Amino acid sequence: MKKLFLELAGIAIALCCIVSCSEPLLFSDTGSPDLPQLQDASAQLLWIGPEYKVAVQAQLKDEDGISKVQLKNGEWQLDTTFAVNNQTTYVVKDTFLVTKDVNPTKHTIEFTITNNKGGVVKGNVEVEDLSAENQVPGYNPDLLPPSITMIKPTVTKFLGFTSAPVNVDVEANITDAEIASIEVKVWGETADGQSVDLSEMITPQNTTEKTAYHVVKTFALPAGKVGQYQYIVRSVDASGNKKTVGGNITVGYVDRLYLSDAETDAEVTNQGYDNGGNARGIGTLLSMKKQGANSFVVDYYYRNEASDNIRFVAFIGNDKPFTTNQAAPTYTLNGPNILGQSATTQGTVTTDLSSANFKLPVSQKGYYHVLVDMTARTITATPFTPSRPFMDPVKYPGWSESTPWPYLAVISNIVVGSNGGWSETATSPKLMKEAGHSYLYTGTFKTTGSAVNISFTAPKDVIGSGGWFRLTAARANMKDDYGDFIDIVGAVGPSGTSPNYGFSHNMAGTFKATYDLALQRLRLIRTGN
Amino acid sequence: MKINYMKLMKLTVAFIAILVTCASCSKFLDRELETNYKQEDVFVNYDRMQQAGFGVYAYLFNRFGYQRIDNAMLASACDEADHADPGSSIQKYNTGTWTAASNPEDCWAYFYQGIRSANLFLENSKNYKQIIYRDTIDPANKSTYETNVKDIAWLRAEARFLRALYYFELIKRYGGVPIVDKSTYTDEELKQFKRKTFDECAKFISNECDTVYPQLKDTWVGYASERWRGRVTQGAALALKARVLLYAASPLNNPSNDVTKWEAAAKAAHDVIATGRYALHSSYSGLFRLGNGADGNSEVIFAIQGWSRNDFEKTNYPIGYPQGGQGSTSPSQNLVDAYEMKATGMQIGEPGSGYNPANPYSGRDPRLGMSILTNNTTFKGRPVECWVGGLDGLGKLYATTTGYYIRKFVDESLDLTKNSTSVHTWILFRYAEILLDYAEAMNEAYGPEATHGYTMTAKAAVDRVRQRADVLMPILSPGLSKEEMREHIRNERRVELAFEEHRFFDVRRWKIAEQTENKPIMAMKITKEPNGSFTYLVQKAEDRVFNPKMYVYPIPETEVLKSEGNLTQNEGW
Repeated sequence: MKKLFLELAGIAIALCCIVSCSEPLLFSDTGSPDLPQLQDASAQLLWIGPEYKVAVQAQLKDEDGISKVQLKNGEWQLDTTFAVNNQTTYVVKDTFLVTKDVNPTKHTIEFTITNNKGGVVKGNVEVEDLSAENQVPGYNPDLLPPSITMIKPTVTKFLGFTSAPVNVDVEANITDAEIASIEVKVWGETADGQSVDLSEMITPQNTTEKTAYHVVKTFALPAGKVGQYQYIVRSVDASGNKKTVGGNITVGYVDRLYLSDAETDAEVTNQGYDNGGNARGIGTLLSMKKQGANSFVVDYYYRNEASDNIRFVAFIGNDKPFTTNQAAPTYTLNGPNILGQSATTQGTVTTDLSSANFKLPVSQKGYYHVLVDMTARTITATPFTPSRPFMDPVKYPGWSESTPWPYLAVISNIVVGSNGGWSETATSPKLMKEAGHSYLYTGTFKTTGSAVNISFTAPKDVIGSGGWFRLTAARANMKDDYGDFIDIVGAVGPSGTSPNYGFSHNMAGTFKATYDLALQRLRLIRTGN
Repeated sequence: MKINYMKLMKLTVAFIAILVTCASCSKFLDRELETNYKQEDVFVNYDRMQQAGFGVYAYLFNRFGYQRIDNAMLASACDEADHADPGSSIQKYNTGTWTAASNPEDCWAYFYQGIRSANLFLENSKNYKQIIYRDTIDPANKSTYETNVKDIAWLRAEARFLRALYYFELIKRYGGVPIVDKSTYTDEELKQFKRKTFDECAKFISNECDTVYPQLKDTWVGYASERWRGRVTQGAALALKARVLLYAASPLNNPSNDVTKWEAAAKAAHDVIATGRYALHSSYSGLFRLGNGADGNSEVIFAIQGWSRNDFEKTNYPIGYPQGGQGSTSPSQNLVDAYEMKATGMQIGEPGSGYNPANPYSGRDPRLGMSILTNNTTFKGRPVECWVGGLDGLGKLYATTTGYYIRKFVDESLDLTKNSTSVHTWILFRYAEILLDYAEAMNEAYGPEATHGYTMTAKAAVDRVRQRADVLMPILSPGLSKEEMREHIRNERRVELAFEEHRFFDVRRWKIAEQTENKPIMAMKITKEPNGSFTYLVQKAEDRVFNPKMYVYPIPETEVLKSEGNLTQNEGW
């Protein structure tokens, strides 16, 4: 019985709740509920003296009393709330510091007004931009920093291979309504930790100097040392505006390094080169790949013979070893940009050529990863076994470790003896396999005129009908580590797969060529007419 | 990556999915007919073991890059961009309505699946030499045995790297997480898992990078007929270590500003630089369109191999182009304003910068035009019309909401009407980021222009990025204070790494998100005048909401509940 009573009571309560909640919520038909009102609102962006401000005005009304008003703007990160203390009218009149606009910008201020009964009204007020002119009459501030036009240094990279100090000229023109001070400074440190800090502070003395100043200074950096430095010209004007212009200076940081194995000056000036497509290469210079800030590497076959003459040729900036091609080299074997291994301290390189022995720091012939650290001025040679691309039977048919090709035949349309064909003939010149040097083939040939396309092929008897070996057209690969001239000339596979002559040549003469099957390096020198 | 590798990867993904399904639903699938490999059938020979190893890579997909979050880029969840589709769940980040139960980019379970996949592979391939030997017992297969053994050894190191990477992806979002080093565990063990601190996790990741470094291959380029291009290399391990230590040193995770953390981060970044293996690519614009040859590029340290697709272009070509504009990424004016003036190297708002608000895109950092399509830029043979009323202008559904479209990553050459596609890779680590990591850490540890025995200063590292061949921005002025250099580095990261999923996390680890992410996204309203000229007015595109709790993600509510109190929720969530 009790249970039934409780159930009936529960149903009754629930019904009451439903009935009491089902009555529609109606607004009064005599008018809308009282809500806060925003009247005569305005916002203006003003430039007042050195500052930018937004000035906000508005009248707020609410018969129930206003509890608070919040002003917000996202881009200025303006978010402020006024406690109004239940007044029925309230005047907002305030200014806020804001940042100057970079672009013409549409801003709005969002008002959120809350009344005593929790009623909330939001309104947006667009900001009128009056910041084009300063509100302070005659206010004409110097907002611009001094103008600095650098004239020197025009050269900021130095080899520093000589024993003379490196002189850095700093020259600049500075202009402003009123220059207060000028600082010229060069500082940094050598690779071995010697600190350099050279500076001069200048205070312009007269009206002419205060509006336009010409700075000329020379600073001497340590001689014969690798180092990284910076220079600045800094000027502050009478209004406190500051401008700094400067840059980096390096001494001994090299942009390009090449390994030269030219035995004589003549082998520099008579390097063979590919003439097609303005490309250059195939001589006595091997580009070294830059590794890190100032180290260079190359794979090299070292003969370890008395005639070895290994030099390193350094370049900075846009300097290159050739102006157009190897016919016009920009370097000599004893030039100011040459290094060689020290004769007295093996494993180091020196710029003092009189004390260099021009060898690698090893005593065995073979293939080496050669690493030259131009900061530490060290050289290492690490032996390696070449990857032997000639093990590929498609590109190098018939070659094997036990029965290597005895020679490579020179084939061309106008090489003497080749009879104009693209196959070996009985009179084809030959590069013979060198005794004691597993993968080197050396010989001579003579060209008779211009636009010579030349390749090498495996011996006819070896390749038979089983394919053929020729050099791939160098043209497509005619880039070295610096995008200039080639180091390698690889092999192509069966006929028809790609251009199949190695390189083009247009200088008549007799040439000595050595082709390295492992590194695919062609060393070509014109030895005579 | 070669097609073979992609196929293998896809097969592996399916394979692992099936494996996981079998493992998790073993009762339901407890029947006689066997159609799939069971776990015990996987680690029985080289091929299956290798596929299981590749399966760990599968978790690189879908959580990095492009429009992966309900058709939006992560960039649209920070001040880099706005996503034009108002219905996309990415908008939850911007309205501040994401929760522990509803996080559009929740990665918790996904990366733990990846970690489990790595653990499973590592546990079961321990005896890989024995397994492979059994499989290649014929003496004639000796060289195959040797090759396969090497491959699994590499794969094991790669799996450990990927596991470390997945942990990093977790901690940069959630803070410290439990370190799970097994693939299976009892309910009791499961309940014991507690969150490690951020530093403990960072140390684990860093140690893993150190351990696997010598076991990884230096490059896959030129190996095995290029079949395995795209796999993890030693450089990736160094780069991950550099990144995790940078995060550990950053204000969010280093509130006491322990300088030794910055020193460690600087050293780790320099270790990448000192390899000498990497250099900046000459073409900034070309860098992001390298396809699967990306890992052969000197700048790319590790990239997620991609496939041929055009969904990114369909999403991000301007609305007026055929089949383009299906919910585009709209770069913000906030970001556009960050690009300096090329001639002066100054911010556009600085007096004397040379900026002309009436011609706002002229003379800017070239990376602006390479990353963002601005009004009147020629794209696919016609000028982009971002002006109000233009073919691509504001006001149309899914058109730009900011007056800009994204250009970075976009393949302009695709003909969407013919459904043409191209391979899209996503670069995870690149050398420019390492240089900026290094610059930031060096500046904080030693100041802007100190070498501390390393090969370059903070300033030199930033200068190198600015001096890329097709960018050639002026180098920074010497003599900057640490604070000034910090601002330069932060802006350089913002510009150089725009849209690459760095900014979203950078503003968090720098603890500046309360400033940057509470600012509205601003747009450029462009009006074409009757004489053909344009006028420009900046206006608000949308407000953004960021609360302090959002510096880290909430741990998914279900995970917290399941843990029965062992997994503590992040503060405020």
